[in-house]
Amino acid sequence: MIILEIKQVEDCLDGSVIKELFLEEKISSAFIQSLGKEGTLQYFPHFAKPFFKLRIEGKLNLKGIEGNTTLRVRIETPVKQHINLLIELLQRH
Amino acid sequence: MKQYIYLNNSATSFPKPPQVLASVAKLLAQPPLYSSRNSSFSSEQDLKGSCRKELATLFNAPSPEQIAFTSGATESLNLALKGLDLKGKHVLTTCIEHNSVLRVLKTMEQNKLIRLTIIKSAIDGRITTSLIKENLQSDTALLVLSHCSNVTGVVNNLKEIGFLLKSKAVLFMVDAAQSAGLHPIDVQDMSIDILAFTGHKALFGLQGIGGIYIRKNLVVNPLKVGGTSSKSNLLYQPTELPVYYEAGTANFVGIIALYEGIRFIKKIGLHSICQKIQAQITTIKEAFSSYPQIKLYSPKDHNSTILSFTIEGVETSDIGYLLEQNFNIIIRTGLHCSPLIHASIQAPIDGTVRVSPSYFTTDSEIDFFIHSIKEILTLSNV
Repeated sequence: MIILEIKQVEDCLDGSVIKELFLEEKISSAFIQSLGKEGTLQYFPHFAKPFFKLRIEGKLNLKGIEGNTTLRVRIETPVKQHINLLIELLQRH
Repeated sequence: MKQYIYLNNSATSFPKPPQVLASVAKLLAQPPLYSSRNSSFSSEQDLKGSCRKELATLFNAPSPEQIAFTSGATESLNLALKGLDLKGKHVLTTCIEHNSVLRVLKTMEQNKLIRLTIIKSAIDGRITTSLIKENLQSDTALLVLSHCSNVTGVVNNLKEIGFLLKSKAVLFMVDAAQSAGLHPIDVQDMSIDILAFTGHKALFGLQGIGGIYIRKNLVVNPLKVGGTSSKSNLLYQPTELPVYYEAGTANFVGIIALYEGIRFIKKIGLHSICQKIQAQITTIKEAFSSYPQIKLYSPKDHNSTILSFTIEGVETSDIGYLLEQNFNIIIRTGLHCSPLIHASIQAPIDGTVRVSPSYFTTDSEIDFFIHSIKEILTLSNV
């Protein structure tokens, strides 16, 4: 999956680094299942547009909606290292 | 642009009344002749004066000159807190305050300019007169208090609190960011010395406009000095009100929007606007009462215009994300820039979901919001 843009999201919380990723393609069920192997996946197919969360312990917390072209990610420290991991993971799937 | 159901009016109101939009468009299409410099302009086109009069009437200020325009409540609060002579004195505030109050006071405390006490609210978020009485000290100079909490929607009894403070010769500064345009404010009857308000919320103006009321003869130094388009030969700030506090080019676009916003409120009626929103919040509360996993942060007997809630087992940010992404509903999640209230009302560390309708919110939008939350509730069963 190719990332087109990464945007900072305000969380009005504790200063966590949260990014919105704009993707080249829509998120498919196959992509979610494939990416899900990288951590702990929670998949909620009962919504009209299925919701998913993926936790890669101590590094990344992703959430998204099947059919959308964006992903929201909370990035743990060290942020730069984990952003690189995120980019590498998405390119791999 | 997608069509959204906008339930985040405590942050910024949307939509604006048509009169507000039309006045802004008209103003921007004309040459900027609306200042007092242009003698060909009649007094009824004196935007600042007309808006000041409307504000003075709305807050029952003795004179329009006691109201100065600012960029919003944050600037007004900074102006007042930094402009008052508080050096070495004791200042009271409360845990329900916004960072626009807390950060200024905590910085002043850190710089050893003041001694600060932050009063903890009751579990329902209320600040009562007895709580204030308990925390007054012999040299307490000031209480800074929100009229209406931006988290719980609780409206504090300003008249009772103002009466107490006046009897103890303690200054009363009120943050009316959430209440101006929704709840009655009478600076004289409520013994308010300083009132800070913003234009872009319930007053239906734009971001970047707000104001401050300062009681006559109260000494408050200006936050900024500079051009006032009057007494330009002086090398010091003219001390006449309200220009004393209004250095720099006025935000005429914001002022005309605010003016039309207040006129709209007067036309509909403050009470009618408030009641309509309160009824919608009551509808939500009643619908949520059947679901024990939904926790409300609002007194049961209190009619509010804001509602905060959480769902057990569901992250607060997930609720906001799903509402926006799956249901096109805009609300706000998190601490709402009021970091200290959450412990008092026993909200989780990731804050609350806050829903805040406006006069323009329809009942069918509220019904769809309730339906959407019912769908999201299924997450708590997983």
